Amino acid sequence: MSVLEASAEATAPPPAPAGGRSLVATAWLRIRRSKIAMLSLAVVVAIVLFAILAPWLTALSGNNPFTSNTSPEVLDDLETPGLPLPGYMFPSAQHWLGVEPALGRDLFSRLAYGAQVSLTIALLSTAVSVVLGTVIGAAAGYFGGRVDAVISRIMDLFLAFPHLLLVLSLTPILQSRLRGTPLGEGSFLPMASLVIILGFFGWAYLARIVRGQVLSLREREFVEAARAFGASHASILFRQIIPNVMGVVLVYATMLIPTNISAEAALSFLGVGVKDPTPSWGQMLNAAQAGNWYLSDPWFLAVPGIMLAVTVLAFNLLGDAVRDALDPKAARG
Amino acid sequence: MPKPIPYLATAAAVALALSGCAGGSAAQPAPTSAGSAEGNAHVVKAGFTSKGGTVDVLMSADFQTLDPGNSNYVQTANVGQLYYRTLTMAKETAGQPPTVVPDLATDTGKVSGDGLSWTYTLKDGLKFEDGRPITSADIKYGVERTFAQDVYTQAPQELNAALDAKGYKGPYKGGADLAAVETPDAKTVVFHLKKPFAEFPALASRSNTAPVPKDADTKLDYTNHPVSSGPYKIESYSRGKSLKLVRNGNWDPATDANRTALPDVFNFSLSTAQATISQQLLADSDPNAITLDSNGALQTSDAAKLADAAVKDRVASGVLGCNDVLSLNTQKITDPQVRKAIALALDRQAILVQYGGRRFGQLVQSPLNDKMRGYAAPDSALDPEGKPKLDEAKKLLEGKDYPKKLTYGYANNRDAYKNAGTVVQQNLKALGIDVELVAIPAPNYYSVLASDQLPDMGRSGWCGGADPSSVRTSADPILGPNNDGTSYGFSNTSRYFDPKVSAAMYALRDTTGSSEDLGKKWAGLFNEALSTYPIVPLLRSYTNSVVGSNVRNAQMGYFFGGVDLSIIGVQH
Repeated sequence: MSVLEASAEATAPPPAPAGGRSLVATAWLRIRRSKIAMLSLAVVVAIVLFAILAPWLTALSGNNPFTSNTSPEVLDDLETPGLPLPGYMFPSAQHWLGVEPALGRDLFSRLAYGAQVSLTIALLSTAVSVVLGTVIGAAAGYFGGRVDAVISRIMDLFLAFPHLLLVLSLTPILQSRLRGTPLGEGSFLPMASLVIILGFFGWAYLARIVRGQVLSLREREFVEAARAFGASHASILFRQIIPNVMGVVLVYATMLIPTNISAEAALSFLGVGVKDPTPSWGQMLNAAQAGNWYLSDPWFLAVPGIMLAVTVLAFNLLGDAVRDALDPKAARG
Repeated sequence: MPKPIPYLATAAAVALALSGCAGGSAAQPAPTSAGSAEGNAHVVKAGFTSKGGTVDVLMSADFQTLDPGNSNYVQTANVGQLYYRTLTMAKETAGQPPTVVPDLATDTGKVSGDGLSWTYTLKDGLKFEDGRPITSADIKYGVERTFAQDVYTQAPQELNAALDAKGYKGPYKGGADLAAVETPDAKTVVFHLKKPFAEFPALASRSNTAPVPKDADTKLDYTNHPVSSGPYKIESYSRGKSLKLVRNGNWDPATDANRTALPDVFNFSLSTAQATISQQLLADSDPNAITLDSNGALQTSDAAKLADAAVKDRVASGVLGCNDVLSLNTQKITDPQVRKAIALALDRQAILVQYGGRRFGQLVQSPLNDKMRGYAAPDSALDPEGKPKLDEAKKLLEGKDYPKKLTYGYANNRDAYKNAGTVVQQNLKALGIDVELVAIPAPNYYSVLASDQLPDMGRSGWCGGADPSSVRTSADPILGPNNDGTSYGFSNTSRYFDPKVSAAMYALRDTTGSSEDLGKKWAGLFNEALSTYPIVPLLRSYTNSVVGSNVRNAQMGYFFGGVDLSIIGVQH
């Protein structure tokens, strides 16, 4: 009995077998019909599996992401000190993606464990943004008046700040505050701070969209009816209104994940995010750039770079597909 | 990057000390100990004697100052050789500590019988750039103004600390006269000391003794045009942009055996990005170019290009007086056996790789170097090849209660420092010790090390001390006690204090004797302290600097850490 579904039914009836299907079923059907959507979904699933299975995958080659090997058999120590020798720079049976310069750690292991870190940060920070944005946006739209005015100005404020600069300057402060708390333990600290920072600065845009949706939803008959039955504000907000904006939220969330993956990489690259020895794709890019290693060992830069590009592209295409699939006005194909 | 000359090299400056090519042939491995210094240096196209031409000096930043009375920086000391002279001079030879030679004075100084007075006589024919003769009064005034520390915050103080100055505060407050420096006639300068100081000729080479005409002293503005007593004078200087030095017609080469003064002009560009400088020099896009930037403005992976046929012969390189050590906080890691275990567990060879390998440094067993008078090698359990001795380390820890969590602090301006920490972290995991890496902003690094926030472990860089060939000026600041002998000294980053050894060091400060003899005593005490592993000696730094294809006589200054400007020439 969703409104979106109702309007979808009303404006443009879906092709033959779709009548009476739920929103999710309709969307899934549309996704399955698109080759690009299915391909990007497959890539996303593969990457998530890659991250989850990292410990087992790296065990296959007997490596781990932390053990360095700087012996002269692995790293050159004469002409180009620290550069992996040809047999170790590129993929081999022992090191599936070669080893890092300077520290000689296994690149495949770092990429796999880095996927865990990067994806965890991206998913958790997206979750934080989505929860904050949905609740705050819905509250602004539903209550209107002064509440709306205050929340909207706060949203404007958040959207007006130059994000990167703010995050760059706030992260060290947050990290020093987190030190000594359970969130500030060792390698957990930079991850926790990234989740908090990215999550906290990603909600405003979603909140604005949700607010707009709720502004029209709150005048609808089913909300009037709930009110007439004497339902509380909280009940109306969480049981009537928010379920009806979940489509928009879902689309926005799938778009926010790749944004946050890139943001994690950018921040770690700039040195305020994940730090060595904890691997993440951004940290790996940072290591490739530090000391200009990418000039003599471009492969070192290419591995996390390609991985990052593929992942962000796949998530973006999937996000597009989800949006198209959920858009009642989209052309049917 | 500028580097204060004395003692502890600042973190920002340590970047200075980082490269090095073993001998003329880059492929040749360096000896693992500071062996023959000659083999550790490459002078580019030496033996050139033709005058004329222009040298272009590319720098990423302006000099901190050009005022000899307000400079603690090696870059200023290097360029200063061109426009000011001092009583004696620390003459550079690539790969070796500088030798103290006479400059304005006829000899390196005559000491009185009680060791408390040093007398210098000026050479004949010395003139400032305006043609006035240089007199003993100008030398004295130069020394006097370095006492005005309220005006000149960077004034070098080693010489002043040795003088019997009785609380003198400089020439500006009431125009008082510094009684510790006497000028019986226009050619004679006599210094009166608090205590005998055998290495005084080295102190007389510091920029305090550069002559400054009293009527030309413009205080802090003096940096814009210091009056030249050397072979060149400042023609134009635009702060932060450019500096042009041209010949000083009043400099008489007959009075100066130390400076060849071959080029007609030095053109400094003071705002070129480091990455641009290194690319320009490697590509030889300006055949007259050199740089004074730390580490030749080279980036870590540029090391790969130093062996290229088109570059190899243009690399001035040499070992420096700088050493890196890992300091262990002896107040946190109190048991010498535990510190020894940590030292033995370290893979120093892997740490060297993080610095760029043998091209950038060599492993050492002591931060003192064997060129120092009275040097004695420590009886070290560390593997000279830098390999860890894990079994021995584990045995030392058996049944001991030792800290299982330690912090490693690193200056965040150089990747090698962080990567070295990663190696330490991995090595100590084998002993069951968790190491947390803590980044410290580079400009604050040494002040953090001296504060309560001191990490349990951290690297320190040491560059030679006031007199690079004296044991004391290195040993005392590294592990010595404070001024009243009651605790560790302010630059003693491991906070080493042993009632017996530190008291002996304190007593030795006031002992007189030949510098060879005192050196032996200092080395003995230092080695005794070293045997409890308050510090783990890591490596001795090399540096490389690429010069343009027309540049001749380019030698790497052991003390300057850059190309020595006093003998450089250019083919034209």
